[in-house]
Amino acid sequence: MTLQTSALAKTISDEQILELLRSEQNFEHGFRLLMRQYKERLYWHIRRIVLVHDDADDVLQNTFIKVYKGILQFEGKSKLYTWLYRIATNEALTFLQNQSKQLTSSLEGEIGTVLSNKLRADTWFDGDAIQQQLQIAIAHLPDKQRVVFNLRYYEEMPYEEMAQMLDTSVGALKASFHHAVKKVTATMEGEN
Amino acid sequence: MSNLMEELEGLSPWLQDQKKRGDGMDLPEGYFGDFEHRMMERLAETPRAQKPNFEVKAANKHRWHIPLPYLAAAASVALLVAAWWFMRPAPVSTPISTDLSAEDVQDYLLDNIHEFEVDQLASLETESSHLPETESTGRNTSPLPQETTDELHPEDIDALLRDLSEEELEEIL
Repeated sequence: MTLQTSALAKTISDEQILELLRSEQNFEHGFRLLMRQYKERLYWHIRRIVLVHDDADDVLQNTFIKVYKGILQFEGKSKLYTWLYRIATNEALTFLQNQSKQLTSSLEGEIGTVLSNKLRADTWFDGDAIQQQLQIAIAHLPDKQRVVFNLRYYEEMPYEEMAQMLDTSVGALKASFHHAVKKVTATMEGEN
Repeated sequence: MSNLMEELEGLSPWLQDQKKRGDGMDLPEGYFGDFEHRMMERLAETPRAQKPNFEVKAANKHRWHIPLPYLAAAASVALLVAAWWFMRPAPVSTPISTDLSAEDVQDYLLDNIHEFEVDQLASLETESSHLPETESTGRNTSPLPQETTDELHPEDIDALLRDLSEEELEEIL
């Protein structure tokens, strides 16, 4: 099955995956294809929010479990990847909020502080000092700005797709990204 | 130049340069290959996605379906009982009635009517007629209108029973 699945994964559309998932017999095969199609994109999206590999792995697993439980309720009103990204984003932000509550309930800007500390300890981060400072500066952005910044800067997602995913207007997203760019740049200029 | 690079050119040339350097994030070798296997193991213990089950709702609807003739029969019985209760000659008044509502009494009598003899009902009526008004009525102290024509005494019942033939008595019981 692996060769067949691998060949299919390169060409299969979301509609074909959903068709497989709707059939009792092909559900598992369909879910494997869905994971194969989206695991890397979702991983990197999650990783840039939570920064640390182990946390990204946990959140990615939770995301796929949510998808597994809810995929048959997906009505096709949005694109499949938009729906998956939305679940992944919510899972990642909820994960960070829970962590910050547990670790630093009394500190301000807790998520940024938690992420900075974790990034410094992460063995799967091999960037230089400037790359580390940049990640920390991004981590200190408010949640929504951070998501918008990552989607635009790292994933180069068009604003129109982002608007569907985050249920916001293109204008508001552009303003949010520009504001985030200014903040990050100002932080980096202050650091160096 | 991509849209993003054009956008950054005016906004932050520093971020534009930095974009070319990557983000410094790494991950274990073979992570994605292994992920699918680990995930399927975990999903084996997870309840599968369920379609919204409209059929179940339909089935539930039928579960409570009662045939129309049975409903009609039940309604007729209820109407007959209610008619008997409201049109009976005189209300049975007992000391218990001070704590019970008319509906409670009705239910009790209907549920246990086979346990009552005619003379028992008559004696209850007699006892209640000797109770002070405040005790028998509780909240209402105004004198009730006298209903002499419908009053039933043990003597009347005895006389009535004497006049009845065995066949008539059997028919009533």
